[in-house]
Amino acid sequence: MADVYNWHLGRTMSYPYPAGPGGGRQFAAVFNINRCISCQTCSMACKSTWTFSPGQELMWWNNVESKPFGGYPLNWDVNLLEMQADRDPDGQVWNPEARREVEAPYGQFEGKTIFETANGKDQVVTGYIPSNDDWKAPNIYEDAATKWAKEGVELPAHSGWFFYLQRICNHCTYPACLAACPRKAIYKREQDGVVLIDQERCRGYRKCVEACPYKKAMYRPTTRTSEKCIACYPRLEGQDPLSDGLPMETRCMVACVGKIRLQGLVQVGSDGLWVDDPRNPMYYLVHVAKVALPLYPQFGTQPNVYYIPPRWVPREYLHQMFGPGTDAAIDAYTNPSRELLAVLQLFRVTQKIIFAFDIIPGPKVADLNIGGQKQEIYDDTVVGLDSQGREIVRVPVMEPTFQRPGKLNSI
Amino acid sequence: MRFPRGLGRRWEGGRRRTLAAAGAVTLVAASALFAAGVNPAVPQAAGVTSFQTEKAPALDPTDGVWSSVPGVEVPLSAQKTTYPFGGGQIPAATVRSVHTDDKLYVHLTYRDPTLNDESDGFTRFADAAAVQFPATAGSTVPFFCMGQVDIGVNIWQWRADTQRGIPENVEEISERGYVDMYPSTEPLWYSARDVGNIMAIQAKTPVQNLVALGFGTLTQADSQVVSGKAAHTGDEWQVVFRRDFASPGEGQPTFSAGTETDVAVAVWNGAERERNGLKSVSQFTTLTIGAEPIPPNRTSLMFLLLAAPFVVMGGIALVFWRLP
Repeated sequence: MADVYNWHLGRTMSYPYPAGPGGGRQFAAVFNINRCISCQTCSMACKSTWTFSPGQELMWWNNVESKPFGGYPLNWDVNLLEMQADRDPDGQVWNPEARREVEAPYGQFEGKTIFETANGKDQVVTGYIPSNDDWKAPNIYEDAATKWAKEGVELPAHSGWFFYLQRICNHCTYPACLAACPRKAIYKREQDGVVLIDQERCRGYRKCVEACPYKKAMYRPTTRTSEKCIACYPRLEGQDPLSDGLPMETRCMVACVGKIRLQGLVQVGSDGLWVDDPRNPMYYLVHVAKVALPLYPQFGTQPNVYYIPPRWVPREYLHQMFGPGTDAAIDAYTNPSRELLAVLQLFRVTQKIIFAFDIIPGPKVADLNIGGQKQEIYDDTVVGLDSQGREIVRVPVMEPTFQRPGKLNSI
Repeated sequence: MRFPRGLGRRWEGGRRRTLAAAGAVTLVAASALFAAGVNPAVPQAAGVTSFQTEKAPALDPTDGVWSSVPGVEVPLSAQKTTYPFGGGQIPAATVRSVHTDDKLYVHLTYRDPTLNDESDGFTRFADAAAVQFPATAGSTVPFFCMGQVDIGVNIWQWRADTQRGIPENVEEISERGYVDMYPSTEPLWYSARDVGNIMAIQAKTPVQNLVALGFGTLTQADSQVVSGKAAHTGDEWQVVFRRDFASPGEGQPTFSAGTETDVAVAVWNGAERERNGLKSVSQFTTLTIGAEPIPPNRTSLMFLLLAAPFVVMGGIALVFWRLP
């Protein structure tokens, strides 16, 4: 076991391999849970691109599930949380006081990760293999309301609640699947941090299925190997003819109807931390605005999909799911800064990956009062730039409106 | 040894009784060995002998020839050398071997009451068994766990799921599975198959021919030329492996009559989710590819002939014993 630095946890942790040299890019994405309507267009975009063949029937590299009751595979997260609690009794706690910019933005996790609770003999990662039945019926019986508040509900937390959780492979910085594969058939690409299973070397042992805390490595009986989300790497590499050779977002991102997803590539330094780059939308949302948080950071894999937590969900639940950064993230989203409001407009306005943004100041257009806080709204314009620094998109905060002449208003 | 009627009551009588007892013990021992199918003519500690045969056995582990081939019981234990540690469910396997002028046959028998021959579900794992040889016969014996960087091993792994075949459609995978249509079933969409992974193809042989140079290096050989077949009867698996003497490629030994090499055994119990390092393994034991033929089937007759004098002596002793 090597000691590696996990900035989600704010501490070093044990991992079977030493950290990479850094210097490369890392795939990252931000999902805004607040906007998702669970239309599953992302799931179908992925399915129709990669997993439509015999043996992949139960395979959803992208899925959207309803929390707290839903899960694909069934109970994937509560099962592992329970195992962790059993192996680290009363230990799964955070110390938010240890918070430091960039190095420890959520404080320090004082409990054991899934690498640290494993017995090191038959498992180097605590985990389990879900049964076939667990994968068979995604979304079944979800969305069944168990509470109805006649008087209505108000923020900050609804008495009857649920929310949609959008999930893909997190292309973790310290992948559990990679750690568990006895054959080293799983690798993480230096150029973009994408985690892949080598289909030539995989022998279907399913140690990756067992180890992945997010259960995003899946077994395929018609090839007797495991497969997983590949982050649409041909698109990341700019191989899609539409992208003119420039990095392009994945299929699930660009298909998002609710405009909840934004994907990017961040630069990672030799210390394993994200290189300071506040003009990169990913860096800005995660490290500057601190509005997007990792999913179950306490597992210890340093996942690279970040979530803007839902505003209406009881905080205790969100604290467990997103860690101690939850309250600040919800505050930031509820009362967005002028800059954040502009950056939020970049979600789903181009298929090309935005590497940097600029904001062109605009006029003040509204004075609002949100939750007792005064808010000034400016119609700024945000400009997205590609990897070469060229403009690829320009969006105003206020959606332009046009008034048709009355004589044409015949609809 | 204590005699109920009192040792030395009559010296002559005592001597007669001693002779009678010796005869009886020998008879019992011979009968026990015979019943166990162990040929005392073959040294048990010296390893496995591959007997010469003119007639090639059928590729069938239940072929009658194997019942007359003396077997050597090889003890197995849990793999505790590297992650993932495990196995040890199957304590021993009996190894037999014969060869023709140009082919080596290895036969395994081991107890496994549960037949697990499919790996279609996430939590289903198939039974498997393997024999392992040094990459070069007669070389320094490599580390018995997957070899080492400078001395490789050649592994022949029989897999129950490969023998059963790969499911091709959802109905085979799931009882209630149904799909209207697949937009494409081109090999490209079976990535592992497309890159030639032998796990992913409908293999012609259930035995995979693999090479390794240490932990985690197991790689399929270019030529999948090891034949084999297994049968699950009663509580046990019988597996037969067959390969030409000539080496099919790098990292795979050449065999020839009159030489020695080494062989190790591994078995995986699918019911216990054993795969990879989770297995029961043996150390290397010597495999002598001898010139001697399979001991003839008159083995039993030979035993009877050997035992007959003792039976007679025992009878005579009993008569003497009864005399006043």
